[in-house]
Amino acid sequence: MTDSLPLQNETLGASTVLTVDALSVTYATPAGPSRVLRDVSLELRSGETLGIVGESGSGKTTLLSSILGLLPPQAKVTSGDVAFGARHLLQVSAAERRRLRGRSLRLIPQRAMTSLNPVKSIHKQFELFAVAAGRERLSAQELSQLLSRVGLSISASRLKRYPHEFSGGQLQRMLIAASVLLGEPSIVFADEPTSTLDTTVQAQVLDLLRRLQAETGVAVVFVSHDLGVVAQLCQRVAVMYAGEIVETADVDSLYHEPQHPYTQALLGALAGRHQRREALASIPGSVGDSIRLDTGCRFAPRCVAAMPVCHEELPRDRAAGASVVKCHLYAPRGSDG
Amino acid sequence: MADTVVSPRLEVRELTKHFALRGGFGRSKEVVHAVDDVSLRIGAGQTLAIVGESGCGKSTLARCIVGLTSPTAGQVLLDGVDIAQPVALREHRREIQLVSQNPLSALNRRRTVGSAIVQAMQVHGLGGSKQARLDAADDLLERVGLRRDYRDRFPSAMSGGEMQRAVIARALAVEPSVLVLDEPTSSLDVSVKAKIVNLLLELQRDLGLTYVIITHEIDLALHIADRVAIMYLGRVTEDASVEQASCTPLHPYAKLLLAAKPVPDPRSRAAYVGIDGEVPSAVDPPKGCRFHTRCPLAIDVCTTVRPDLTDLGDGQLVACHRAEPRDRKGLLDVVADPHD
Repeated sequence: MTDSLPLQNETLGASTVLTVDALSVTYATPAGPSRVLRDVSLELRSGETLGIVGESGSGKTTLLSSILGLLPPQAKVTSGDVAFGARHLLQVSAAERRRLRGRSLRLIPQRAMTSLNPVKSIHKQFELFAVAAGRERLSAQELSQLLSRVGLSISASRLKRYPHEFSGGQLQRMLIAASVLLGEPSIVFADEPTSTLDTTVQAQVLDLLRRLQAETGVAVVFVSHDLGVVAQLCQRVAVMYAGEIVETADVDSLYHEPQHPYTQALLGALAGRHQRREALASIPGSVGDSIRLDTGCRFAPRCVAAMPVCHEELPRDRAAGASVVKCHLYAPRGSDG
Repeated sequence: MADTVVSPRLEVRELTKHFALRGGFGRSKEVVHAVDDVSLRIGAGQTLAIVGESGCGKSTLARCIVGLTSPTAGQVLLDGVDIAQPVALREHRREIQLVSQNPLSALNRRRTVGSAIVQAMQVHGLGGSKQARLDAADDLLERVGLRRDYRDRFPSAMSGGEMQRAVIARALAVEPSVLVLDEPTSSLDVSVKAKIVNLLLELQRDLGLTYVIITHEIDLALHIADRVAIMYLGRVTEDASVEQASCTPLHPYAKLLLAAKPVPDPRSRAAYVGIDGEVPSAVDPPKGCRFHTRCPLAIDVCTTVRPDLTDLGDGQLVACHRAEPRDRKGLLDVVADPHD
């Protein structure tokens, strides 16, 4: 069953399709403003699958929403820039952003069932997707063909059916077809697209994503809390903690030579890295209010390697091993400013 | 360890649970075959993991074991006494407690954690005076790793991991010997998950508890359990020790399920050439072996004759017409070996 797949080609030197630069987002909450993204920077290269890993509350969904212009009203971008080609996404009009979401920047949502309109047939919804993607119409036969590329054989007559008449796995495949195969998307954003699926269905959907990505060469941003899924799918990985990207590296280095203490702790907590029934390594404390910390490293209160400077100064991005990390451990002696 | 359980603490014997669906216009009454003729044995102080995908009947089985649902047929024996019947003594019910799936819905959000624990003791007449119960609640909170002042907290003021600890404390309040844990870590983040797993291991070591863990998380099952029962559409396909299940699973479904688990290591990437399609409906499950519609090895007999669980060596029980004893290299090698 397990033909080993080669790790994907080096993407170094490939052109950049999306740049997020020093993005900060603040939420208004009853307890005062909360900086849910602090100085987040990342680069997406053409044709790559970039994983964004983090636990709940780490800001991964907020990051996607900021890029796509889908932030809720209580959220405010306080600084930073998102560049997609010549466009600065934080500056473009709402209408233009909507047009971009239809054509170039696609989202595969987490829950297929609640993302489709329950009172419109599958065919009707795909016709709307097609219009948004810049096509004129989509015949039942064309749609049937399109869906066969994601492993669904649905006759033209069954396309008149409604979302509830299909399973979660089938709907997720449909949404993948809509976001990857309709028109010519530049970037597909996937927000935990397999987290509600069963293990065997998840494996099928991951295979599908891998295959389509190789076929179309679209760049993918894959958000997940599941370290297994990310290891199987992505070429580069960014790890988020409490609203910051703490480490970015190619997938092999990240899993085998993690540099940031948080990444190390996260991987160290996996059951597969322990003897059976051995106590699992865990991270002391909890995320708690670290999202409100504005001085120093937000992981410092839980970090086994924390030094006095970690509580006082913001760590800056530095090269460490094959990674870029936000951590004072890798600062040149005596200076980090 | 414990390849065969000599005198089980808990035994599920030929348990069946069917739910009737209301018939609609022109439709006859339909029956959901949630659990069909399941037998399992667990020794004292052991952990059995029941693993399967959604709709396989694992949660229904858990509810039958703790007596929240009465089975259509079959028995749940605790030290030889049938506790599945409505007439079962409260005393026997106390011995076996459920830690249900979602900690938020398991707790009453208008009740403090302390009063939830005290109430459980009251129901079973444990703990003596009110003050004694409150003291016992403090001890239990400490036992599960919560500070004593959590006694006065409401669920809304706690994180998911803390709520899960509180639910475990409440289950322990009535001094059970068996805990049935339904997806104990599935809603938790990686770092919180590790702490709950450690708590469960520690409680079992200190209190000699017997665990039945219902989960779809294969990693968790393989880490914490002694035996693993893999269910598909209401039936057990394989019931094996953890070593057997992780190294030499014999049922084709068990192999494919284990191979589908995404390994958190980019160096062991694998194309999934597993099963296509999805689990058929439990209203009209396939005849014969329920997996035959998706099984790469199915032959005629699989479509008509139901395979029974058979010991294929060292207590590895497999329900498959095509599986062969472990010491022989069989047909199944054409399917997956997740440990290539």
